[in-house]
Amino acid sequence: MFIKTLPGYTLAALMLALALPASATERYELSIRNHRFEPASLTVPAGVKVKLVVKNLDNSPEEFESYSLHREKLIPAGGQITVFIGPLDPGRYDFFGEFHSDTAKGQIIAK
Amino acid sequence: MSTLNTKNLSTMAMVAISFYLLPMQTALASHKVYSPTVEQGEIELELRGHTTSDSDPAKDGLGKYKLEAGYGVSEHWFTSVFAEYETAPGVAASQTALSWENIFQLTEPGQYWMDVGAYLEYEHAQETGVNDKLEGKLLLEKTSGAYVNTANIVLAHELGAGASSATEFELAWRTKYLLDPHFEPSIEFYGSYGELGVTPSNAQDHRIGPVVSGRFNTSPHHKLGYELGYLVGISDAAPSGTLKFLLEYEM
Repeated sequence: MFIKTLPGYTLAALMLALALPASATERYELSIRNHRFEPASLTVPAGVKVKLVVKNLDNSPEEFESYSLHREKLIPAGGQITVFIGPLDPGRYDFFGEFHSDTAKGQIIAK
Repeated sequence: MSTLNTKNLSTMAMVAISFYLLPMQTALASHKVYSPTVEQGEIELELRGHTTSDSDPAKDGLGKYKLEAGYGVSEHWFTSVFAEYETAPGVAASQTALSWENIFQLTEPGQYWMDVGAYLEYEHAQETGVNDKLEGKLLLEKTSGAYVNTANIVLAHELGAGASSATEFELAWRTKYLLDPHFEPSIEFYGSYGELGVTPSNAQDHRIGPVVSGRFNTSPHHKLGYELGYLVGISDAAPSGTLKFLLEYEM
């Protein structure tokens, strides 16, 4: 019986979830220059959603990637992206540039 | 973003040949939960499939597999084509469909309470007497800490002369734990409800079970990914066991 009525319950729950408004976000910025993140360490408040703008100042593309943040996104040469992260538990979250992972490394500290 | 050069083309050719040969040796499968997030510039080759086991010969040893090539056209659109093959005990693999699949990322990951995407597939049947099919999916994903919950709500409808007027409903669900990039355990559920309100519960096909997946960097921005799982039938029409797998190469 549960399996038979599951579609109706699922659709109702999902419609309710999609109707929830987005929460307010604080804005932070990172830059990539000479295949390095600036700043390499960024402190953000824990427990709230954060809007992170990543600007690629190099003349080659880069990919912002973080396993712990569950984010992976291409940044065109000279372009910028917006990444929404959190709300995060207090702790350290590493990220890197996949195309230059030997130099493009950084971390977000949530406090 | 990938730049095609001789090395990349050679790698793609080797992977494509491997994917072509592998289905000739085993019966394979195709249960998959789709994320609403796409990656611009990504080139992907994928082989996935399943094979069933059951005491009922009618549900035992059935295999389905898909060979797919896709590309992330933009930060909001991933498109791919795939060929679908099926096998049965004593029956050689035969191509049953050729499909065009599109995934549209509708929201930025993490921007809203839930990430949303859409999936549209046109399936061109390769067998006589079988209709083409249009399949649409609502792709939903919610990340909570290290848990990623993904749901696909699926509607499918036949096209062409003699097509069934029924719209079939399916649901796919996965809860994945981000343990390690090389090894991520998850639970997956696949429910095929048929035509809602019409298909009796004893004709519906529901399966659930554990799946592990992971990705390995083979070179800068080249990755080899896998999935392996075993689904248990939880409805009368489902086979008692389904072994599923996926192998992909991303660049």
